[in-house]
Amino acid sequence: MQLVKMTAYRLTQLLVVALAVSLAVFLLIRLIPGDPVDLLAGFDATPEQRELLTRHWGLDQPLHMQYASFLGNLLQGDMGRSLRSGRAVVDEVVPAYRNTIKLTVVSMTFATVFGILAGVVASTRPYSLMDTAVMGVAVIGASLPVFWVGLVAIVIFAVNLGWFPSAGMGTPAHYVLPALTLGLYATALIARMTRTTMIEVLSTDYVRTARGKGVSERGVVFRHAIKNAMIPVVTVIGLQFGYLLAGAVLTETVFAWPGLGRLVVSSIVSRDYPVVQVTLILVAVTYTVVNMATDLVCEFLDPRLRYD
Amino acid sequence: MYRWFLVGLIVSGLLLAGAGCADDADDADEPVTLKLAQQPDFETLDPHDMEIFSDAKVARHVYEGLVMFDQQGNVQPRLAEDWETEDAQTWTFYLREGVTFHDGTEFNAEAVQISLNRILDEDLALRRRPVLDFIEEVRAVDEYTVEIVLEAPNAALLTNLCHWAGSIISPAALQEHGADIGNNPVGTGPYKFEKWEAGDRVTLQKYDDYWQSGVGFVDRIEFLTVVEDGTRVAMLETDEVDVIHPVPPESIEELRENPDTEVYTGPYNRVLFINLNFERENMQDVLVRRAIAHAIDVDEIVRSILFDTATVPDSILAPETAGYHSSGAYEHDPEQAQSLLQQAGWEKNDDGYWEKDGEVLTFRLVTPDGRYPKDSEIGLAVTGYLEDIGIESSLDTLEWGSYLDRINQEDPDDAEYDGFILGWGPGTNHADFTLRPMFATDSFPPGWNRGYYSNPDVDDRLSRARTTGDMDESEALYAEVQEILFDEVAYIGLADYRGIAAHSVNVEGIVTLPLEIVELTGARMSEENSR
Repeated sequence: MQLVKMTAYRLTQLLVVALAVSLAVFLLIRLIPGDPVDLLAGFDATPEQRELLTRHWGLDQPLHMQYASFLGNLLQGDMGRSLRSGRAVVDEVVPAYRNTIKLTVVSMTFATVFGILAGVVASTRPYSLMDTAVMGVAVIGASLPVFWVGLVAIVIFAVNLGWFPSAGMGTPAHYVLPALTLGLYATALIARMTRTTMIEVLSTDYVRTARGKGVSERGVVFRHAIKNAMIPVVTVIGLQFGYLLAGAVLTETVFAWPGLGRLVVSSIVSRDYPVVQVTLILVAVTYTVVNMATDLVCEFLDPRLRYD
Repeated sequence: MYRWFLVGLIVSGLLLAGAGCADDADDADEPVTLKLAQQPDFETLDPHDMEIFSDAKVARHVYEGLVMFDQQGNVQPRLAEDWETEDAQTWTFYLREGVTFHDGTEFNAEAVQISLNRILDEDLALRRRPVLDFIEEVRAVDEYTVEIVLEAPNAALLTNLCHWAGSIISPAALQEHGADIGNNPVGTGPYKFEKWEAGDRVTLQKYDDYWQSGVGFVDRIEFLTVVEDGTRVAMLETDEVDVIHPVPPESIEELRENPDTEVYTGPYNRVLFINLNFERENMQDVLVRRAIAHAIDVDEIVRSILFDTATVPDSILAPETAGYHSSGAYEHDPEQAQSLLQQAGWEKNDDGYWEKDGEVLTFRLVTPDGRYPKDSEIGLAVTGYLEDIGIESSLDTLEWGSYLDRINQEDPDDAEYDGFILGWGPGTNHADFTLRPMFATDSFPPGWNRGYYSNPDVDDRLSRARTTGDMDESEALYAEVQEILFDEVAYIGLADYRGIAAHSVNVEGIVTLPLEIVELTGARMSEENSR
């Protein structure tokens, strides 16, 4: 019963978010200076031609009518057509979304594994040489601009060493540089968060008790401490996942990755209203879903967090 | 604990390295594929609806028109073998026989009629309609003869048919795909469409039944979208792609010195200039306009900012464009500039700025950012040069959409700029496509005369040049217009861009057309390195 209620609550939440985002995006994109017809029409457009385009795309309708028809079509599963290409929006957004998800998952897997490992290693001997080294690297990783890291990675690993392809997608090797670049910041963040909470947990009474009853250090860290230390870390991972999803613009640009970030930017640049609207709603929904999943994991890790 | 960490590092390192080697496997029998990295991303492959040169690049390989531009931008017969006209109003085209579309449909007069009527159809609101909207009727006289009747005599029909708007699409494919023809292009060109992976690449395949021999040597062409300049260069250096276009000016030296890559320079009809706003009081004085022109060192701009990937323009048109006439360039002469201002009644104030009736001479320049090679950097240089001679200058660098919004003011009082930087490359490679939208009185916003230039002498010559059937006369009229525009300083030329591509030494036979299009139909790859 509780489960049904919770699911219903969350779905409602999701719906409200999607609706609010759709309205906000709809209005915001129209607030940016720049008329899509200007961008569509080209240099030789006659006033007659401009009028033709305006009418064809329904841009002469009052705003509330435009929004109503956009929302109505969306609810019926019709995302409309791109102003720029005339293609169905679904054909533009879905492949890009898939590519971004792939990159984000690979990159978050990398960030999670290495972030937690590095954080645990650092926390077991705080202020040791290893700790300082790992955390130093983490600070640098968190501070470097993604754009620069990407280009330098291409120069070193693709041009000079020739280990990996520099850009595009296709083979698994194509994932390496963009995934590492994209995940660098998240890795550093996760490592620092893990270290902090682990140090805290390792100094608690129950850990001392565990040590006292003769549990091995490995057992203390991996059986007792890590589970409790993971709650804030999981939250960070969830947030970072959403962040990467929406914030992969620079990485996708540098590595010519045909993903959602680049699609958003190029469609904002050409004021391609239907594509921008659908894409941003999709990002918002994904972000919300990821956050819900994060909550569920946290509740699993710490039963006290459950709504009972 | 460290041990685990190190093991993890090593294992993942090995995994990554393994993945890196995975794509090295080569199959000698694989068809030869030529890869070109380009930007910006593709929008549509419907030639009647495409606006950007990325799309036109693909269209140039897939589609053909009755007539088409050659490398120099001259009109050449293609799907029409010959044509004739008495009065430049009724034109008869004699079509080539034995041509088939990629889907097997036969090319004939009916196909021409269907395609041209499609672009003229108002209900479809196709974006390239204005290129051909002066056509009144298209008639199929017999199987291989087409008659095109214009609303009025117009000598520009041929160059406009050379534009990709004149592409002939398979009537069967139009029937089948309708509005989705942009996803499924079917033409008569030497390469046929294979697939379009959105955001990533468009792949073409050689068309085996192409009517001409000696064209199309590689089996497949992939057009990859790589937006970031540095990445495009890196991909050429690592041999992941064979050709890149455009090439960032600052990388040209490096690519020339690299023994594995070559830089190609060809014609290109885009000219970058400042369009002056004639509605601004200060700009109405020709002496001030001339002073501004003399203040700017265009030589230095071309050399230091564009690394000689452009030349100093001597007209608003590039030499490749039909109707071009060399009218000259203003020399960099700050002394002369200042004495012109003095002559115009301006005096230097204590701050070193020119002043008249208590008003300081200001110049507000608007430039797009990244639309044309180094546009905003050049804008910065221009305002610097103007400051140097004592004109208080400011620069508004705007993203393209906002830029268009800013300079599209139907009320001239809202046009708060003294000039804007624009790069114009006429898509039809014809003088009319630049001069009329930019300088005719009836092209005021929302048309492209956004400097509000109005001169009856120019208007009259432009309309006569357009409607006369006499090519020599229209040529002479266009020359006069260019002289007037130069003398009156209606614009200030900044750069006449060259067409630059870079390619691997294993590739030969690539050419660029004046329209920012790379043509690969004559490209070959040497055996040892072909993929």
